[in-house]
Parts: sequence; C-alpha cells; structure tokens
Amino acid sequence: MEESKSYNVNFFKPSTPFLKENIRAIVIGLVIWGVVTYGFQILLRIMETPTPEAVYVEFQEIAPKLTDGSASPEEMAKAASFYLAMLGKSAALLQNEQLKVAFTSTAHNALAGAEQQMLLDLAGKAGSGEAMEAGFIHTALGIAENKAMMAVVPFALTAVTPDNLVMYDPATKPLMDKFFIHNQSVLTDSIVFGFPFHYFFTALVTLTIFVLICLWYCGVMDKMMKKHGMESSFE
Amino acid sequence: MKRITYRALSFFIFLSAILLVAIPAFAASGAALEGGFKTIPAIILLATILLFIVVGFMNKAEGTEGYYAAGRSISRVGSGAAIASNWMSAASFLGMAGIMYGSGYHGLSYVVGWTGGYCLLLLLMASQIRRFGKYTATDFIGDRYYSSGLRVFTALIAIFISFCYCVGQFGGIGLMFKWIMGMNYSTSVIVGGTVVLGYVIISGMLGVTKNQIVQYIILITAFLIPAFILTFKFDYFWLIPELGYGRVVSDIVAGNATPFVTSLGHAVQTVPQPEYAMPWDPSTGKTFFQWMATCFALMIGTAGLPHVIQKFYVVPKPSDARWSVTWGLFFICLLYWTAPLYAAFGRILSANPEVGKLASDAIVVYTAQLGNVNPIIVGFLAAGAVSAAFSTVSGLLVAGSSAFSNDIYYRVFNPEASGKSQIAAARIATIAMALGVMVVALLKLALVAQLVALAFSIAGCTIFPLFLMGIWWSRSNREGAWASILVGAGFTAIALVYFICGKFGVALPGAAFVGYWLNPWYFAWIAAPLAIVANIVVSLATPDTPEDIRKHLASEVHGVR
Repeated sequence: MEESKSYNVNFFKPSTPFLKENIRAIVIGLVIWGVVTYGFQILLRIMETPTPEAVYVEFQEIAPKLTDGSASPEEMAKAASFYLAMLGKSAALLQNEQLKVAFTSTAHNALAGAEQQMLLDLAGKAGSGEAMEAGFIHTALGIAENKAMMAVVPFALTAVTPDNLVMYDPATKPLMDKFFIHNQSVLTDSIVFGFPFHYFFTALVTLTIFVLICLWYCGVMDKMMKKHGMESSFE
Repeated sequence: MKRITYRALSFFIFLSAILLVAIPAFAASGAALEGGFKTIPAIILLATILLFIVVGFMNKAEGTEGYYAAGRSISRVGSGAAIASNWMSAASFLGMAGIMYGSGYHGLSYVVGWTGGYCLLLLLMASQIRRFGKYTATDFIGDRYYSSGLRVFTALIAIFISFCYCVGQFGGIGLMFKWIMGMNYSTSVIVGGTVVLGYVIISGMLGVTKNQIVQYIILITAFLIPAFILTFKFDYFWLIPELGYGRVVSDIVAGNATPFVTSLGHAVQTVPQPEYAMPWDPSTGKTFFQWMATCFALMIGTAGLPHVIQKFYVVPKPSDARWSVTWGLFFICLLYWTAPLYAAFGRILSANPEVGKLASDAIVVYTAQLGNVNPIIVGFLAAGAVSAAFSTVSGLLVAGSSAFSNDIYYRVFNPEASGKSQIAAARIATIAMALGVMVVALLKLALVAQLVALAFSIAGCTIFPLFLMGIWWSRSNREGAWASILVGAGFTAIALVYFICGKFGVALPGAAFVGYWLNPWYFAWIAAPLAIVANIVVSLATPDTPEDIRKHLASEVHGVR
C-alpha cells in the first residue's frame, strides 16, 4: 500500500521537490498567459462605454425635424452626408433601399431649384452603369474634398419622385444604432504606434508575451533539470 | 535513383497536363481582380510544388532512416520551423486575414487563440509527452488508459478531425487555383484537390521534416515581402510593417484621407469605420462572449490536435521538445504578427463600392493586387498560400490514413495484415479521405478559418482533456477517459447536427440557443470543462489506474524515483 501511494501523480499535490518546482513554474506561466489573454479582454469589457459617433449624435438632433418637415437645407445636407457615411460602411448596407431613399430624399431637399431635378434625373439612372456627373451634389453636401464619401454617391442614389420622398424612416434606427455606436474607452481611444491601444495590445503585445513566456519557461526548466539531475536520465 | 527521377518526372507531366487542361476553362469572372489564366503565378506555383518534390527526393536519397530518424537529426530551430509549417495552413495564410477583413476585432480572437495554445502545449504537455515515449496520439491514449477500444475510438476522432481540417484547406486551395487559373470555384476545388492528392501519394513517404523547413521558408517569405511593399508604397513605417500598419487601422477608424490611389484608380480612404477596430462591435454581430469562447476553444484545440502533438515524439530529447515549441511559436508569430496588416490594407484599399464584394478568404491576394504589387510577387504570394495548404494537407492525410491503417485496419479488422497490405490500406484511405473532403469542400459551408476552427473545437473537447488528465492525474482511469471522450463527442454531435440542419434549412428546437452557445467554431469552451468534470467524477467512482501505468507515469514522465 505504501509503495503504490508514492506513484500517484496529482497536479495539485506534487509529491517530489522537482514536481513542486515544475508545477510552480507552470502555474506562474499559466497565470501570466491567462491575465494577458483573458484579463485584458475582461478589462476592456469592464471599461467600455457604448459611444455613438459624432455624426450620429448630430443626426439624432436633426431626425425629428426630418419627420415634421422643419429641417433647413443645411440640416438636410448634414442628414444626407450622414446617410452617405452609413451606406459607405458596408456593401450589405448599400443594398438597403430604405437608406438609399432617405439619402436621395435628403440630398434632394438640400438642393435648390434646377439642381433638384438634376438629382432626380441622376437617381433615375442609378444602377444603369452610366457615368454620373455628381459634382453639384458633392458641393451641396460639403463633401467635395472627401474622396471616400464621393465614391459612395453613385451607389447611394435610387429612383424617387418628388411626392414619395422619405427623409427618415424610424424602422432604420436599430440599424443605425448597430453601426454607429461602438464600445469605446480610454483603452480604445489612446493611440500607440498609430494603433488604437487595445488593438495594438491584442494583436502584437499578447503574441510577444506568449513567446516570452515560452522562452522563460524553457530557460527555467533547463536549469531545473540540471539541478535535479534529470536531464541525463531522459537522454 | 533512376526510379526516383522517373517518378518526379511523371508527377511533373501530370501537373503540367492538369494546368494545360485548365487553360481553356478560363471563364473570366466579372471582377477586375480575377481575370483569366495567370501565366506567371501558374509557373511559380508549378515551380514551388516541384521544389518540394525535389527536396523530398534528395532528402530520401541521402538515406535517412525513415520518418522518425529524419526528425531526430534536425536542430531545435529546424524542428521549430517544421512545427510552424506543419501548423500554418490556408487558415493562417488566408483565413485569418479574411475573418478580420469581415469582422474586425473579432478576427483577433483567432490570432490570439492560434498562438496562445502553444503556451498551454509547452507548459502542460510538450516534454511530458516526449518522456512518455510513444509515437502517436492514439498510442498515448491507448497505453495510458490501457484500452484498445479507446484507442480505436480516438483514432476515429483523429480521422474526423483531420477530415474537417482538410475541408478548410481544400477550400483555400480551391480559391487560389480559382484565382490563378480563372476557373469557377467548383472546378478549382476539383483540380486543386487532384493535384494535392497526387502530391501526397507520390511524396507521402518522403523526408517530411526537411521538406517542411523549405515550405516554411517559402511561405513566410511569400507572406512578408508584400507586407514590406505595401507599407513602403503607401508611406507607412515600412521597416517593421507589423508596427507600420497601425496607422492604417487608425486611418480606417477615422476615415483619414491619404494622397494615394489603388491599382483600380480609387482613393485610398474609407468612410469612418470605427467598427473595424472596436471590440465586439455590434455591427459585426459578434459578442464579447464569442470572442472569449473562440479564443479559448482554439487554444485548447491547439494543445489537442493529433498532428501537432505528434511532432513532439520525433525530437531527440525532452528539452528539445520544449525549445522546438518555443522556436515554432516564434516562427508562427512572424506570420501572425503580420496577418492583420493584410486585413487592414484590404479594408482601406477595397473601400470604394466599385470594387464590389470580395471573397474574404482571398483578401490577402486581392489586397496585394489592389496595392499594385508586382504581379510576380502576387503570384508568389498565391503560391505561398497553396504551399501552406499543401504542407498541412499532406501531413493531415498521412496522419489520417496511418491512423486508419495502424489503429483501425490492423488492430480491428485484420491483425494478420502484412506491411504491404497495411500500406495499401493507407493508400486507399488517403484517396477516400481526399475525395470525401473534396465533396464537402464543394458545399462551401463556411469560411476557411471557421471550418478549421471546427476541427480545433473537436480536438479541444475530446483529445485535449485526455492528455491533460492523463499526464497530470494518475487517478484518471479508463472509465473516466471513456466518460470524458463521450461527453466531448456528444457535444460535437449536437453542434454538428444543429449546424448541418441549419445549413439545409431544417428547423430544430432551440436552434438559436445552440447556434449561439454551442456554435461549431467554439463549442469546446464548455464541452472541454464538462469532459474534464466527467473524467474526474467517473474516475473517482471506479477502480484506480493499474500500478504499472501509474509507475510509468510517475517515474518516466514526472521523474519520481
């Protein structure tokens, strides 16, 4: 009975000095590994606040006026460029007809006189693949310097008539919340080497620490093996 | 030697024939980035595959004494490189960037999960596995748990894991062949699959380890060169592209303007997209829980994959097992530090809606094209992706078929089998597996990285608990091991049935619940802990492990004297 007991192996009850030291090293390694990997993400989770993008905050102030028709042309232009920024976020959103109608409608109302008809004509050609001369829209929306926004315009227009304009469809609000509210904190807003800090930590620091844990453990184990005279018995 | 030249020649002819047959098939797809047959990349691909075969034959001609001896003559750095190339597949090369391109920060759970697993492997298992002194994962489980039934069951699971893993690889190979030859996806999977099968059958028994070192060098060079070029071209800090792309991430988040244009003449700028970098952004549809669960499942999966564990049996000493993990991890990180760069450049270069929807899994190659990188280098990049897939697939097919011939055919069906008929069984198993994989790959069930993640989840909840408990708790016995592996296999079955039914439109009760909590990419997060609990409970309720096994474990593995 005595003898069989000595052959028991249990991570939590190391029976020899070597195992004790070995397991201590393993536990140290595992703790660092766990804190770096999961601890940091948990910290990120604890610190985050759902933060809307500035353009979305601005849009939400304008939205009621879009519904009751009291928005000024400047506000129409702001709303239109908000829709444009939203449509530009993903190819899937560019398929969303409600958003495209809202963009075309607000852009229409941001314009004046003959330009309104020019926009309707352009929108009628949307999807036909014809080249669009949309410079007047860029100017009216104040995006003439923003190449990314301008590139979205031809894809954001859709055929509308002056009597079926919809400036804001409340059904699109959940989608807006989804795309314009982000989990941010000081960790995501600080910049390191150009990265948002949390991204830098997860993508680069974590991996580097993994390599360091391994280097450290190998060094420690080589020494430990020598100390306990174990290296030779395994060769 | 003559015969070897003849075989190499015949494979060359076979390969050229397939490529020639493919030329008329260039039904050019609409996207400007796709185009028809690309001669230079095709030649580079051909040359790369040939190089592997030549290195394999040269290594064999030197008269190495079989597979294991070949491993034992190689330095720690060398076997680290072999571990890295064995490990890095189409999922690392193409899939990771693809998933980050689509889901932003969520993709980093793959980057962290697929590297952090090596810490677990090193700290808890590597040198202990080497000291236990077996040759394969199934051998270890069969001996440690003194059960040939368990050995056969593990072999079946190992084959299934290899199968799932291969499906993802074939998807990646198909995408690259599609890109190189301008065929449709299905034809590409069949052509690419045939080439890889021919390669495995002809080169299956060649000097694998040295070949893997060559494969590593090719794939890491192919991956890093365009990263330097992209950061240099777009005026980011190019000396260390891994740091330089940080500003790309910030430019995406803020929608900053740059003075550059892409190869299609579009401005290098996006509308502001904080969703790309912010953690578990609602727009990606991925949650905090999914990030953590994916990361954890991939880590324990890494430490439970048979073809990864097997690498530690072939190093000369336990300390070499440890150092080769460390070198291996470093070599893996060289690619993983860089992969998010392709996703970020991909985002900013394909921002213009005119580019249209790109296949995420080919984003690495598209990014290089959009960045106007020289076509020869892009071709080399695609060849690197194929060779990453090749090295892993050949390892997996060999592992799967040898598990079949040794653990199932020889032990169960025909104990009197001669060496010759065992090899024949292995060959047939290889072909059957490759064909099966091809068929499943044609279904295009999910992204490359996700399909591979499935293999990790299975390994993480079946094999990993057996190794962990087997090494660190002598009380864990045969009955406990059965309970543990059945729990793991049960969870696998549930996750898979729900996934497949969902894909084919069959509604099962609780599909939303299972789809979220037991998703096939990460169900191991809960399945593995439960398997361990089952192991403990059942082991304690049944007789102790026989003394000779406890003695072997204590004295050989843990140095108790």
